Amino acid sequence: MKRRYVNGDEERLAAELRGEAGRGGPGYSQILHERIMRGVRTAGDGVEMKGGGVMRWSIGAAAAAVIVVGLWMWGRGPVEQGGQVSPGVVAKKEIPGVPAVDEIFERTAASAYAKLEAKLDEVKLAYLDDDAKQLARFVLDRTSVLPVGE
Amino acid sequence: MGYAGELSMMEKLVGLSDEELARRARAGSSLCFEELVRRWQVPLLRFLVRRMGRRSDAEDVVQEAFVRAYQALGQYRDSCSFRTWLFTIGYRAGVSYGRKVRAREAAEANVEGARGEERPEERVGREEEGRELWEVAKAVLTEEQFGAVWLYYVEEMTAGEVARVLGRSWVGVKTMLHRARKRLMPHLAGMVGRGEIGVGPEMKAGGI
Repeated sequence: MKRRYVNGDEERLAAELRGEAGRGGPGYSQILHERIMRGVRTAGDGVEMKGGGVMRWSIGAAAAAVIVVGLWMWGRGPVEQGGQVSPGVVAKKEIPGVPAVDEIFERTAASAYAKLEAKLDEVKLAYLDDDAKQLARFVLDRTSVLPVGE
Repeated sequence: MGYAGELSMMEKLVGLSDEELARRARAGSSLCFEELVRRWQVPLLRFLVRRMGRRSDAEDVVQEAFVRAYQALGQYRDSCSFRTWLFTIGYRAGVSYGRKVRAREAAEANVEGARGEERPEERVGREEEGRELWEVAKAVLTEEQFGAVWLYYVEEMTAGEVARVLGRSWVGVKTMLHRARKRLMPHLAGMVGRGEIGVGPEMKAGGI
């Protein structure tokens, strides 16, 4: 549909502008076209298009479904066929019991105490050089096994 | 696909609308995007050459615009025409490119020292004779006004579409166009007076 202008002046202006725009302007360039497409292809390598994204999602969903079904089959154990249990080795492993709270506390406290002791030893022997530290550790180690107060 | 197959495919694509091609390109068809490049290379290049002055700069921006468009195809919605969308990208790419070029040129000018160049508006009066209306427009209009005039009169976009490209309101574009016309009319009248362009019946009747 041809546009209607407010008045003749505007129509004249529009005609002149359009006419000039069409005269001597750049035409179609195959070289530029190829350059654009090269740029598009290079950029396109890292682009996730809507369609491509959907495809990627479907592949991901399918892979996840296969994994879930596989895990379910594996966890189901032997498949019953005609009322008989199919041959296969059924390993009956004992489920390890949950340790008592006291035990967990004791283990944690012991480990923390050992670390604290090691740190204190380091601090106590900090003024000594490596050889002296080694000697001091040896002496402390030996003396700790000696009965105290006997 | 052989040459004949490719040719027949291209023939089929010619009949499709821009929006349909964009949809197919979004779904992964590079041939459809290539057809869009073929269709819109010249209009976008003409606009940018006029706006930027240097063809090499305009070609850089056209390439950048198409690359950006391709990368953003997933965000393209059919609520606006592909042309408006592409020109929006091209216009913005042109603005940021122009900014970089101006900053570079300003830095170079600082190194060389002030040369006391005259403003484009000052050149217009002196060199007006024999100039094209678009050259005058480039000198007397702001960058936005120039863009609005081109898109409205040459691309024949609606004021709403121009507003979308420039990121302005419909009223803003209407005002912009009104001011641009007011600035261009005296130059058009001058061209008529010098016999560079013909006289229409309204002008004869004292329209300008």
